[in-house]
Amino acid sequence: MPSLSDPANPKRRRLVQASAALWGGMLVGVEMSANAARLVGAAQTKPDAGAVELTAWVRITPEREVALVVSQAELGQGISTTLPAILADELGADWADVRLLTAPLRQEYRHPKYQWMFTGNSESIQSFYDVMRNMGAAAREMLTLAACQTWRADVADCRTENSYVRHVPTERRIHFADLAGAAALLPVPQAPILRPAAELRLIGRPLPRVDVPDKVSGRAVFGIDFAVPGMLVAAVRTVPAIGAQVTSFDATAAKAMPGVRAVLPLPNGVAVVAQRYWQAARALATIRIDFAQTEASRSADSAVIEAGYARVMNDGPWAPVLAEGVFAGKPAFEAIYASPFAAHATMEPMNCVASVTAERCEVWAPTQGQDLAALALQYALGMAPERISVNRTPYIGGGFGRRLLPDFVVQAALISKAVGAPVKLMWDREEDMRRDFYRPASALRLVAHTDGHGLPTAVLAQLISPTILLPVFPPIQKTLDEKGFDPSALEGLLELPYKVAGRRVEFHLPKLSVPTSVMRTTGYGPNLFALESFIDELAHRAHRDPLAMRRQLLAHDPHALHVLDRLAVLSRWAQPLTKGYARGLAFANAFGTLIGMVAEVHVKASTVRVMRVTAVADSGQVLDPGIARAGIEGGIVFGMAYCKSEVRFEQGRVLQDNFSTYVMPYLAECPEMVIEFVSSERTLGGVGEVSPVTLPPALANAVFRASGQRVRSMPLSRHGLSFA
Amino acid sequence: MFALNVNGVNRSVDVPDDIPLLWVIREELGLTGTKFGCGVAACGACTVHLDGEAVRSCAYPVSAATGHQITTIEGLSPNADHALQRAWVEHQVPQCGYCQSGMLMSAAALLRAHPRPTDAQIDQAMTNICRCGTHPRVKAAIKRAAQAMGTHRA
Amino acid sequence: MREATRWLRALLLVGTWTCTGLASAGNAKAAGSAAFDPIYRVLTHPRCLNCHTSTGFPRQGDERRPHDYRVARGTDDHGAAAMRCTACHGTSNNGLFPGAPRWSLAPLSMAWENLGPGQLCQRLKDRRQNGQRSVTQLVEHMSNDPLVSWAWAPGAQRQPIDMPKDDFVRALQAWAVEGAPCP
Repeated sequence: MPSLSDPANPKRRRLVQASAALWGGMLVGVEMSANAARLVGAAQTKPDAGAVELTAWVRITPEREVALVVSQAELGQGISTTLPAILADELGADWADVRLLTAPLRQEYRHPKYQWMFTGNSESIQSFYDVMRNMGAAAREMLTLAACQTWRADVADCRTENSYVRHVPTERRIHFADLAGAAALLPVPQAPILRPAAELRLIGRPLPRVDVPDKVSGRAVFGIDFAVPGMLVAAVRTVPAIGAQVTSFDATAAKAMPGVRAVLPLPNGVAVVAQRYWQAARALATIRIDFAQTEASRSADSAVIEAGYARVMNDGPWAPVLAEGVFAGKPAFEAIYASPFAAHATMEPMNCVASVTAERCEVWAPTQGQDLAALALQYALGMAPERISVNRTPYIGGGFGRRLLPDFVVQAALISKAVGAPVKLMWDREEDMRRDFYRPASALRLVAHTDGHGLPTAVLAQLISPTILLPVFPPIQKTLDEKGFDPSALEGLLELPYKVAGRRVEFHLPKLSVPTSVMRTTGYGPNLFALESFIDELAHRAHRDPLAMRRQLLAHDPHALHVLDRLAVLSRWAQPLTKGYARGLAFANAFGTLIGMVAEVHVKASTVRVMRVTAVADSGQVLDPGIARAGIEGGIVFGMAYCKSEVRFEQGRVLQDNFSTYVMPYLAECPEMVIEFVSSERTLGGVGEVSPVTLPPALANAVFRASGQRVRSMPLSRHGLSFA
Repeated sequence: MFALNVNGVNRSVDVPDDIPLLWVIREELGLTGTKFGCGVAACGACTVHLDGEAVRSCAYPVSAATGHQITTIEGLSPNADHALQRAWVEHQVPQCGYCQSGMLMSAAALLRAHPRPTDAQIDQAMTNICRCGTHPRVKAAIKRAAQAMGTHRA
Repeated sequence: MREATRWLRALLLVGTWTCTGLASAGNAKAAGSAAFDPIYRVLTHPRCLNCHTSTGFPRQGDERRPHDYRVARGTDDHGAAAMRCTACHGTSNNGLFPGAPRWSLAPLSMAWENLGPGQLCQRLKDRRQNGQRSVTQLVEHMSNDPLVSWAWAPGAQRQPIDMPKDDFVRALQAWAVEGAPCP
């Protein structure tokens, strides 16, 4: 398949043009120059002196360690443990002696199908599993062949384990480090033979995560901690109203403050560059930005947006997406559900270190999207791709999709270029939350025709959602323009897990001045909040148990039934609860994983205490049970955050721009969690985004059963409720 | 000029008196284990100890910190082997890890006041924000550490 | 007749005396109100009441919402472990947060939430509740304690007490001179 990195590929040309239109052309004026700086230390493109590169993925170090390259960004999802472990397992390396290197932007580390280097969509394991096994096997075969050349032995008589090649009949063995030189001269096998499953020692076991020691000692270096010699620090403030126009700012006081090297206008604000962040921040605080409202800023307003959605719900227009089957009889039930704007609010705010000279651009960023960042830099700087280096920092303080966007990388590079020195750009929390690409607010009308038993026979879905994909995948503009829908925003609606004969899906794509893009759960979250609440409402109207009703709707899917049955047992679904206590259920097929969840709550007056959450997931095979479990646990809390806070806008101002107003779940509010994985022959599914999909509807359904109050939107505060 | 005692070492920093202790620690002293998360003391990522008590250093002026023993995550133990750090590894607590320095420092202050904390005491003390949702494991690891510290004989 | 007249006169005397007594009590009550009202106004201002709460948490803002960040009273009114008041509040206001020496909640015995003037006055004077203070000591405390004085210079955008501090001190003294009457 032609690579997206190949300039001759027409898809590449479209990607580049679209990205240039979207991301390029940001200009910065220079007010003061600063001293140039020399940069020392290289990116990890070439092996360290003395290390031997067997393949792009496997090197042997002079310290006799097996060094493996980690292509995917470690965001906390444990990928920097699991993927290398797959390779090491296949290779036969001693896991205790494995060292990990963060991948530079290089062809070999791109997503095998999309030919694009990124981490997201819960698909790193699915996408790289085969690559890891094959590359592990390839290195194994090279080392084995090198050993056999020394021994004049038969490769069939050899095994690899604990970083040795062992000749079984004679018990001779040679360490990988002593074979590396010879092995590196051999061709890389294109179709290596994989080990039988029974020989795998690491895959399927809970491994100690490789990043945990650094994260408990304080030694982990995140983007915000990264430094290069001669580096200055930039603090920025952009106009506080989205889309507003800067008219002037007075930097007289700022320029005179200690440590300040430059004050630069940005297209929508100002940057202060200083020796220290605290100097830059102090100086920045003295600058008042005057601005004028524009049509864009006035429409970045929750009341305006909600009124617009209400008008569309009444009058359309709707773009057709899907129509199949029969809609017999009259609609039986209809409801409109809404999900609010949400902020990523990663614990580490956006930041990036950039060093831009006339010849080169080098950045070190906590990024999820190295290819898009490189492309955006090309266009912003007018620099050829081979002169641009996008290095990913080994540790990243949360992603959730925000770090796929290249905006903060480009901003850092432009500031570095303007001052002629390496610069670390650091956004404070307010800047981070005001300049987010929010999870879009959406509204979904669901209409069901039902049979005599209250089961849905036909469902109409009318979805209003701004784009999710455009900022991270500019070529989607064509689909948005021609078809009028965003495929990611439709997730969960195009393929229902339930057997429903008649289906229509329609879409309205508002073009908002509020920036929106990918955030953990993407379209699945809001759509399945609606769908799973709707199924529960249908069950209630039909006087049916919601679990039993879903079993009936999923009768064709034995895997789904198994998940529900385990869930019923583990959640003690059938056990009665006292007044005020209730259970609510949600089921989803999202990101390739089947997940059933039950939330057990206690509703008292206006408080909701989440007592217990039970989750059963079928993601095919679980490669690391510990990491998978952590992903589900953390996702439950992330789902609670979606139910606790929202972002609202008023004439462009972001009303929730720090944690005092965007309040996140507390440890005290967290429930007991019971989590189980069931294995099946289903293909590998992703685990990182599924539990935040089912938590909100399970919660809404539980609240209804406990109190009689049906909430068709989040957060709970819209309905006078709060977590206890 | 401010004289600061950080992790047992006397240091001297030349900063204005209202600079938050967080930036002095990170930028003047080069100790980056303590993190910036919000700047308004909401999230706890910046938690350090002042004479063993937890303070949120992003909102704590350096002038208030002189004459006290300041402990950062780097100084919590000699070899990252405080009972809490061991328990954090045993329970595989961190995900992205950014909040964890603050979590550990808060937990250490909790255990100093309540060596065998109840659930309610853990709930009240541990208000640190974690976007990855490690809270259940934080709670379990605190109990594990308390148990280990209770049974350890020096 | 003489017997009845004497009885009637006695009754009238008692009645007059009773009415006069009641009138004095009523007058005293009115006088207590007049003297204590300005004090009541200050003590129930959010700057005071936010820490003189009857809740397991401090209050914050003029709207008196529960304190942000899930801050709790703790067992000693100085905050929960690892979340002590002094984790964020210093001995003077800084750019972000209010501060004064010994920043903490008042003990529950000094909670004034939802108390009417009479009740608050009684509680204020009750030595079992007020830290064994005499009226003189009460007046001294409210006149001079730095944490109390903070309420007149709370910093940032916070509304100070809307009565000048000197007027408050004078009102306290006047109330004390009158025998610290309660409404």
